[in-house]
Amino acid sequence: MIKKKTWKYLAIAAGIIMASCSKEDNGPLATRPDIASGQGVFVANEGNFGWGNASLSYYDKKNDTIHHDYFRNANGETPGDVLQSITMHKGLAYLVVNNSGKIEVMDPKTGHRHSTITGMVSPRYMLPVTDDKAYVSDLFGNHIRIVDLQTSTITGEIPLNGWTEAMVELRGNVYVTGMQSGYVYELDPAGDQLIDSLYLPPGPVSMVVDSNEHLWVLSGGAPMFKNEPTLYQLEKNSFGIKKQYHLPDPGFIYNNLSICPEGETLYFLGENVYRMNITSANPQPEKFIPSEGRFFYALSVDPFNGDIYLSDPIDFEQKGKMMRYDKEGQLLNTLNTGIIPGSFTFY
Amino acid sequence: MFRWTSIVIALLPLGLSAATDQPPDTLITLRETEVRAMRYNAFSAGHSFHQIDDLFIHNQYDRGIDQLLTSHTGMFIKRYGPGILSTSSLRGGSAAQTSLIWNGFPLQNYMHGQTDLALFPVFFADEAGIQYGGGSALWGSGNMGGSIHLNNTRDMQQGWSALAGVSAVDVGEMAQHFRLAWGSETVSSRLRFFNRTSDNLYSYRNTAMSGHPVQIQEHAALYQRGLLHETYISMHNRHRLNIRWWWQETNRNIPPPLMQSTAGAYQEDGAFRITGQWQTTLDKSVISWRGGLFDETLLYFDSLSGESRSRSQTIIQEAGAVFSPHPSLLANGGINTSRVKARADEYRETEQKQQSLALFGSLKWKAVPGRLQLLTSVRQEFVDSHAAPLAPAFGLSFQAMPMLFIKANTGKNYRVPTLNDKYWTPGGNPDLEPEKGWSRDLTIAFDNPEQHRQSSDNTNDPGSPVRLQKASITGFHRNISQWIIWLPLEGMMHWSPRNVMEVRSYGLEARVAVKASAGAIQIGINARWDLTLAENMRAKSPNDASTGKQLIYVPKNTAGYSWYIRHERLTLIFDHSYTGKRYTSSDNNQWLNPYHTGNIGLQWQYNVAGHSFRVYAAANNLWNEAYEAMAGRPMPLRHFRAGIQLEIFAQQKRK
Repeated sequence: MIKKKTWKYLAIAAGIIMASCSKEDNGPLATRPDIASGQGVFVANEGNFGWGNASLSYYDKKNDTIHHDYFRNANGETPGDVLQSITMHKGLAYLVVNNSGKIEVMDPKTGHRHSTITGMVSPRYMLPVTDDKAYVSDLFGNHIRIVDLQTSTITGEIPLNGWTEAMVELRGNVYVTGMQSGYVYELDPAGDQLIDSLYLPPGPVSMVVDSNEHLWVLSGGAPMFKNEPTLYQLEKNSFGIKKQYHLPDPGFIYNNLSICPEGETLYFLGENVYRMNITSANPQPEKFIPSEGRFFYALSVDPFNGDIYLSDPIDFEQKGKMMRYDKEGQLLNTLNTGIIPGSFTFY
Repeated sequence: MFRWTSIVIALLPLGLSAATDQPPDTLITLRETEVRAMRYNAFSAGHSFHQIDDLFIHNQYDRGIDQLLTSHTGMFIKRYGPGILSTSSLRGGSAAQTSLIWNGFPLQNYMHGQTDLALFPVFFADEAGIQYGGGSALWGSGNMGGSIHLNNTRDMQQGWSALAGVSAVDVGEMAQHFRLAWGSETVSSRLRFFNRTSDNLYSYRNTAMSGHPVQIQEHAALYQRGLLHETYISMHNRHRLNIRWWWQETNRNIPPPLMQSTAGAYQEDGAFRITGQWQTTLDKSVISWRGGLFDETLLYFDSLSGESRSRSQTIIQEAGAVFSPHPSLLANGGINTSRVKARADEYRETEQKQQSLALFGSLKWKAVPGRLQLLTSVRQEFVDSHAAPLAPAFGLSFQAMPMLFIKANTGKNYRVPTLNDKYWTPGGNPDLEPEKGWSRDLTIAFDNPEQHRQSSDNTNDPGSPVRLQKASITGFHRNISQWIIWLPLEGMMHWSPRNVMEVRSYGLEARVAVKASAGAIQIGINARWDLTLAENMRAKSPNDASTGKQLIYVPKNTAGYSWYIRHERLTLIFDHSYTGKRYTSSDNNQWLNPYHTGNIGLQWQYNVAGHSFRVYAAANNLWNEAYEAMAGRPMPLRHFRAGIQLEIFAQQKRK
């Protein structure tokens, strides 16, 4: 008798448990926003390394609203593990997903996946060098990958030393920062070859081109480097240093070099936001927006109106913040993003 | 004289045991001729313990204790895969805030402060249990959420015995265990060997991909082997000595997260531990010494970031005495020292050292003999000449009715920064302060042990076929300030530890154990429920939205039950666990889904002339649940294991 009752109760308990094994998702899929070129900003939320929780947010400048999980809502899955950067090219968005070793090609108007480029090690940034060809930098690859954008395949590589990071095309050549090596590499995109290199210690991280077609390189350093963080202005007609500026507070790391639409004011991140008017007689970096306890992680300047976009990942374990400032340094608004907002791409 | 002798016999090798009227829900039950090195038995009045049933331990000889604790305790185990990295969370604490204590010695790694529970085979433990709540006054740094206790007990069998078993799991795994023991009245010795080799080709559901396809994990292979040898010597009924050494090596591929494109990480863990304990019993006291050397190595290799090697060598010594100046008083005092030498390529100076010295003492007063015990303890530790927080504790145990006990406990707890916290490059912060805080417990327990019932009615009549053996409910509250977390430094690219969090956790723990019998059928049922609310109380920066939110990877609810049904030689064993939602973002906007897991096993055991033969088979994850204890780390779907075990005895002839 006891046995029968016991079994009966156990069976009931098991039945209840089986029935309750349902899954729930992390929030419902949202309605897709109306997206038009020139009106918005994609925010690449890296997500935590290894957790696969990268996400894509879209900020609608016109309506001052932000939409989250844009990629997941359209495709049913997240972009992958660590969404590093986004590049717009010929009407498509290329989402470089670092720890997934891939690039998701997305239709920006719908969020739907167009194709996926796989086979990379640890990609960081993509730079189209022709309509159908792009270069991809890599953290561990010791090379630049060459990608055929028509077939979404890797077609080759250009061997370089160590971690390759930012890329810029100028006067027919491509310049690549080597974070670990301390060099900036000059590549010929026609022959996919290394032409020259220039030592710009301590660790060149990002670059911009000013209104006079001078290349500026921010060598922000890393804790293990001894050299002071330095901002370099390169010669226009040769691959050499024209001027260099040692940055304040040498104990900090500097990155995210950006430039205003007119190409006359530089912005970059250290502990605070710094700016430098390069048209003045004696350009000097000045503190522009103080961090005031926040952690400034990404900085970009809107190429259409010069607004300054900053991100704060807070503790790197929660939704971050996106802050928009005008060119005078006045805070315009603050919005939630996904986890670890790492870059802004203007569309 | 008899009274003194009985008290002294109950004292532990550290002078730390005196069973007497302690409620029998402690981790151990003292046996007539056995003395244990378990401090809590005498001086932890008011603490809540959970001892895992021997049956479940024997049934999982081929597993790690991560699996055992997952199935049979309310502890949330953060597992990266079967046999892969596993750490614990108890009462909202971090992995470094729960100690693993082996025969009274702390085994957490001094470099990172954590314990990988997958490295400890169940076969090397005779007893396993959990002490809930902070215990720094008794055990020192790191005991903030509780402690896991693994113990080896002297086998009182005289003569030779041998046990051998093999098992297989349908993921390409084979395991063997072997034990050889010999004992006499004064000496006993036991050698255990464990070997596990697994391709670990388990199937899992890839929830990161659209359609959630079932895939095979191809980068989780492991092998593990170890030796444990124990020797126990008794002399003149006054002196007791034991020596244990433990060698082990474990090599594991570390499976990549679901969305990682590369899979090239592996880890090699090595350990050699040797301990000795000696005690002598005097008229009114027990004097003891114990010491141990713990040598641990770690090699982590990742195909992208390269190789990282580290090694730590720790020497622990402790001398103490237990003294009973009056039949109602029991005092304990001693000194504990530890010296750590650690090497890591990432340290500022490749080798770092740390020395600590701790003074501790306890006083127990049986205010109402047999009914009320009051206890106070205190510990003061100095680490490299810096004083850690003074750790006092107070407890009481009150027998309100013959089978009803009330236990209460409060104490200050602390955790000193690890060597990695202080010296890792980049980021190490030598200026860190210890984490500290108070914990409080209140337990109401009903306890109806078998011996109690039989002695009370003085009959062997089985009485009611269904017996509520134990039931308890515990409420706890704790607060921790200066909680250490690693955060990126503003304006820097690297992370660094800082004392920035303040955490409050509180909750309930309920336990029920029922036994029943009907003719030749015996049934045992255990059930548990844990409610843990753990909240961050302090904003880390101006935009921080985590204040007042549940900590990540701390499930509010865990629950489970297990039962066995035994009929003569057949035993059917089942356990079921529920793990609630775990937030993965500190603002509680992202989470992992709750999951249920169940395991069922059937064993047939044949005993003859003291020998035994056992055959068993089991289905793990019976419900085929696709779940992740940690984000991006899927656990196996349903899989099966089976094994056989033979145990033989050769009784020593008495002279």
